[in-house]
Amino acid sequence: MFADIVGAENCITDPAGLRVYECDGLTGTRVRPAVVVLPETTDEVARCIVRARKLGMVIVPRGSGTGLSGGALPIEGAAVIGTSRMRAILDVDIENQRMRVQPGVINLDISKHLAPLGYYYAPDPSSQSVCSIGGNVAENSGGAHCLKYGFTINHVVALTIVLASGEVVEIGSSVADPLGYDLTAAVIGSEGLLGIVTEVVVRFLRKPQATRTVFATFPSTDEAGEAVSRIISAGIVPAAIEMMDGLAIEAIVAATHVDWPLDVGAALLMDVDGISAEVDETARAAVAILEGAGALEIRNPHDESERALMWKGRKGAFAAMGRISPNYYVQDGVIPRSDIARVLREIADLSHRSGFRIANVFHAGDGNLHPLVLYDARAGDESERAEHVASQILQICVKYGGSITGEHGVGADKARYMGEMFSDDDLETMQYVRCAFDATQTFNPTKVFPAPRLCGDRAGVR
Amino acid sequence: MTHAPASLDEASALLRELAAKQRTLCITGDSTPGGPACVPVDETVSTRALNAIVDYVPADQIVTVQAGMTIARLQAALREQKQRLALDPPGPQRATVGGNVATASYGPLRTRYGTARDVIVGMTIVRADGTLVRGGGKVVKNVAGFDVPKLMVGTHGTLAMIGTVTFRLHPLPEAQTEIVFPGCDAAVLRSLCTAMTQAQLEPSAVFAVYDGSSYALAIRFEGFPDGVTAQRATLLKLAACDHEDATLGSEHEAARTSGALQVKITAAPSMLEALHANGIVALHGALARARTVVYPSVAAAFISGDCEDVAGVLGTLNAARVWAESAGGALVVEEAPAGIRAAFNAWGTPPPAFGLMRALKERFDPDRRLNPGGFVERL
Repeated sequence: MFADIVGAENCITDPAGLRVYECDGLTGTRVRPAVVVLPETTDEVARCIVRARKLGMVIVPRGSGTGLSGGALPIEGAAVIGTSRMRAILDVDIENQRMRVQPGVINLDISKHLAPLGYYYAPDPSSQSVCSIGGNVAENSGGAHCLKYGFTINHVVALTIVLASGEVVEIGSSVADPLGYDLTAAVIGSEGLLGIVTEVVVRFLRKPQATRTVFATFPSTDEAGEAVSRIISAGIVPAAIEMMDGLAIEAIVAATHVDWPLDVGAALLMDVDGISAEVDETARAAVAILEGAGALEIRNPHDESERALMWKGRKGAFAAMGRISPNYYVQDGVIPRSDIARVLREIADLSHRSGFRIANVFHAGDGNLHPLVLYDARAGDESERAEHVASQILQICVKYGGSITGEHGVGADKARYMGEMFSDDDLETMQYVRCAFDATQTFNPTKVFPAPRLCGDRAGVR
Repeated sequence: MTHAPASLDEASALLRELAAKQRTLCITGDSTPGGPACVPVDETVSTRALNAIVDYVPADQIVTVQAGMTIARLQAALREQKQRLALDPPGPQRATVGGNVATASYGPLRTRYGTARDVIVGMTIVRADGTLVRGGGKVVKNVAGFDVPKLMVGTHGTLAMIGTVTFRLHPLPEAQTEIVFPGCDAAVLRSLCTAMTQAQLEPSAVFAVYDGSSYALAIRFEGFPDGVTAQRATLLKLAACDHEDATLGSEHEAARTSGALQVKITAAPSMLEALHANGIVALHGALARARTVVYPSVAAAFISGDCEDVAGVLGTLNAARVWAESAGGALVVEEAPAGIRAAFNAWGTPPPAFGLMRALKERFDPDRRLNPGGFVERL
């Protein structure tokens, strides 16, 4: 089907080869695509898109497949176009702090490439050692440090995108204030529904002079949540503040050998970074606030390796759940920061009522919760019931004026909840954007939107 | 005629009625003039009666404000809670929140905090057909659905009417200092910016005022006192030239708000000397009572003044635009007297993705009634 474009070895159609691509990080749902194609250049991507449409196939774009909402989940009969062979760094412009890369480049590899020069790429999703920059663009990925530094949308300035027609379009610019509509803002976070991004220009940053890390434990999430509020009210903008509850700490300790205490109700892991003198000043102030809020113990890592170990513990938290539960469902929701303590209590009530243990590990600074519902898939209908509990957490988030997803995306998993957050008119307006880019609905057609809706023939059909 | 709806529901009903009558309309903050290419329309919709704070939760550092509120009034309310919106467009007493978002206007804080798109978390818009639509939310982090609010930034009223905007806020800095280096040339501006980056300094604002022969460079540090003091000391070691403890705030404001002709020209920061030689010198020289301000780390220059020799100004504008576009930047006319406006395209060559822009326009405003012809390529 596509072998003449990408070579037979990069066109996968055998069942064993396809199995790898049946799901992404949302492992509970699997669909076998018709074919997986792995192009290497923009031109090959364009030809694959034209060919797929000629064959009447829809297209599911895929980066590293680490997404947690099924954005790269195949659709029956679809061609999956993967970017895993598009891993070239095309240009590095140090003075203007811009780097042009192919979409398959791994997030962390950008920072590794820049490290000897003293620069880095700010968005740091927990999967950064394996996730691709193209996937980050699709999901508008954040990470622990987006509290201070923002998300993918704040760090990507230009894109090359191939549309359903096969047309290759440059949007945005390396230079400030590009003329016209902010099309990069439309594409970033569009979850693969608008086209396939084949080049990404990122803005990278100079490393800060200093970073101080503080780890503090608390009797419960109430005190920890209060500490977060007080730090923010004091005018401190930490680079990151992460909260873990007792259950999450138990799992992380079992999995990673960090020597965190087990008999606590919650812990905070915080980075402050920036100008050395200011970091010293704010770290001192933050420690005083943590003490005042009832911290049991406060630790500062002795050196960079201990700091790295602490962050490794935090970033490995999801996987660590395997140590305390056969299965777990990762939820992703957002609430206003000032409601953290109240919402955590509601989640605890839900846990008691449902009988499911729920671990909490999350980005406290921006109210982005990641409750982990622990269950055993072998035990009766626990999978379905656990998923139901996870969905009730989203309802709590919406009730508090928050969001059904802060960084994992809507994908296949949460399309059905979009109606709880948005009206039909809101969703119709989002469809305007989709239809302007892809009136044929070739790309990822079953994702994000709760109900199918054709683009109509009013205008703009490409 | 001019309408001034006093609520979002009134705005919705009004736009629905104007849609039924197929009237063209221009949306204005009622304070700043209508923009570079405001074409004649049937109706004007002013946001002047939409000027309230809808919701402000200091603990969340989030505010929702109606589009017609001025930036100055909003900042005054936030200051009471020791917070601010990290946007400082020129003319804050007149500039409205909606106008700022619609034009993506910015001031010196752009250096550190970016533009409106970087601080917007949600928006309510009134579509061309009058439908009230909400996008984004009131939390900082949110990836549910397409980011319609950010797409609205810089659309110059051609896609929808902005009703309310929800912003993330920043703490008001406890300390600040501004240092001015007079007598710099473009090469010094660029090398000092590079040196600050190398030294890992984090200025909140960097801008330079040009007087026709040299630049006075202003650098502002903000934050907690120890950090501000340390950054200042490091900068003075880096910059081996005379400095003054001064502020160029009023010179900056004058350059951005006065003059019958106001032009913006951009390039890459590494091309600052070329931007100076090929754009700033000629434009500044061609205008009467010229004023120029440059943001060197962004590589954007704003030149304003009066046109006594219209033919000469047109020739200079054309040459500067040809250079800017060849350098990957742009030259945009932000304000112009009628003689220039009629003879010179305010926006220049449309971007390569213009087809997508037109497709969006056709979806959002299929009858082309919102500020018709008022943006790139007479969109």
